[in-house]
Parts: sequence; structure tokens; C-alpha cells
Amino acid sequence: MLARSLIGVAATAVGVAAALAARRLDAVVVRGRSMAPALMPGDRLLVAPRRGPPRVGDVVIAADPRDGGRELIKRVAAVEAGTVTLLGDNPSGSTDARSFGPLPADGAGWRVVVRYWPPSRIGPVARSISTGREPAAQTLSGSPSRQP
Amino acid sequence: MLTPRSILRPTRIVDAHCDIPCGIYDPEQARIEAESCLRIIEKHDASDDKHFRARCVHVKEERAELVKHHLDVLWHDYFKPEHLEKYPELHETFWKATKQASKVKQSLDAAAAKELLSMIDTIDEMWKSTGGLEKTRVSGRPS
Repeated sequence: MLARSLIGVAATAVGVAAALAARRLDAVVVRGRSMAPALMPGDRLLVAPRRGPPRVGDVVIAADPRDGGRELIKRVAAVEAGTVTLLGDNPSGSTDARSFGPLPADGAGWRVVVRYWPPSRIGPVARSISTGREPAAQTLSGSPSRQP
Repeated sequence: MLTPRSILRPTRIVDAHCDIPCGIYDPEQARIEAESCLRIIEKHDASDDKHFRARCVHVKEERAELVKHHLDVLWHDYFKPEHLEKYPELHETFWKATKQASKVKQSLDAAAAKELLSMIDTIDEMWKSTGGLEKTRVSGRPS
């Protein structure tokens, strides 16, 4: 039983190594807090080129439209006519589609596969926000007006 | 050489980016505006100059509006879901305090302004006990 699971782990490791070598997977590190609490600064992720159209709730990587040298990691809040609206899970600490608008869907070329570091949080990244707030998609429709 | 460590070393930084995560929050900001309201009400009551009293009302309404603004910022931006677990009454506290600020804006009631100060002090305790002083000021409050 133990031997079999060890073989499984080893096979997975070889598979991951091969995929990394072929650039069908990549390892990235998260900087910043705009995706908290789903992603925290220093989290390390395996990411893969996206196959098929992006879906609402996916966490994706896209070039910053204002600074092509930087890659952003955000969540897909809406998909429409070949564009994606990307928002951070933590709206008060995120610069996202609210500033730069929708992006071409092709630009969101990578999706998150799994978090592999820190050890305490190894596993999939939640597909939706789990903080009890309204879905991020709704924050784009403008802030509610405040009564005097 | 390909080692597990080298394979899993991140090759790219991905930015969960924010242009301005200033992260400075302090209920003192709301308190100073609320103290202004109280003082202005006292000055208003002590004067019989119609023009001065009109100015008092005007300025007090501005200050009360700022109290509401600063409380809102704390509520939306500083306090997080985990703080709500510690203080289940958090939403209620902010709702009542901002309502009280509206009351101060609308009236010339010094007791209402004092009540507002004590509500801000309650929020201040929540801010302190969630580490606000250490986490959100550059080097604590000036002494």
C-alpha cells in the first residue's frame, strides 16, 4: 500500500518535471494581496496554458495592459464577446478591470492548476470567493449610492 | 542539474496587484472630526451672533459628513471577515455609529455628539485589539 502510493507520488513528480521542462506547466510566485484570501503573497502555484475559453471564477494570469512587462493574477468575473473582465478578490486592495476595463480573452493565457507552497495550503485554489462577500463580478456595476 | 528544488523554483512573479495599497487606517481620524462637532455645538450655543451661529451649523455639518466618511473607510477597507468572527456585532456597531453621525449632522445636540465620541471609542477598541495600531500606522500613534 505504502509502496504503491510512493510510486504514485514519484510518477506524479516525474510527470510534473516533464511538463515543466516542456513548458506545459510553469511555476510562479504570487506578489501582492489583491487576491487575498484565496491567494496570499508568497504562494507558489503551478500554472498551465489555458485550453478552451476562460470561465467565470477561473484564476488566470494576463499581461498588465498598462505595463506589458508585468503579469497580473486575477479572477475572471465576466466573459463577453471575446473579452474577460478580471477582478481581484480583495476589491479594496486591487487594481483591476475597474481601472483598465475588459481585456482580450486571448491575453488571459494561463490558468492556475494547483498551489504547491506553503505546505499547509497545498491544493486547488478556490474557484469562487469564500469570504461571505458579494461575488466580485457585482462590484463592477458601480458602488451603491449612500443616503445622507 | 534538474533537482526537485530547481524544478519547483518559481520562474515568474505574478502580481496580485494594487496601485495604492496605502493601508493606513485609524479611528482617530473620525474622532477628531467628531470632537470638532462637539466643540462647534458648544461655541454655537455660547454665541448670540446670528452670522457666527450660521457658520457653526455649516461647518459642523461638513465635519459630521467627514466622520461618516472616515468610519465608512474603516468599515469597508480595514475590517476583514476574520474580524467579524471576533466581533459579530461589528456591522451593527458601524451602522449605529454612522447613524449617530447623521444625527449630529442634523441637530445641535451636544449629548448626541458626546454619544458619537463614545461609539467611535468602541470602534477604536476593536481596531486596537485587531492589531490596527501596529499594522496600519507607520510607527504607532504619535505620543
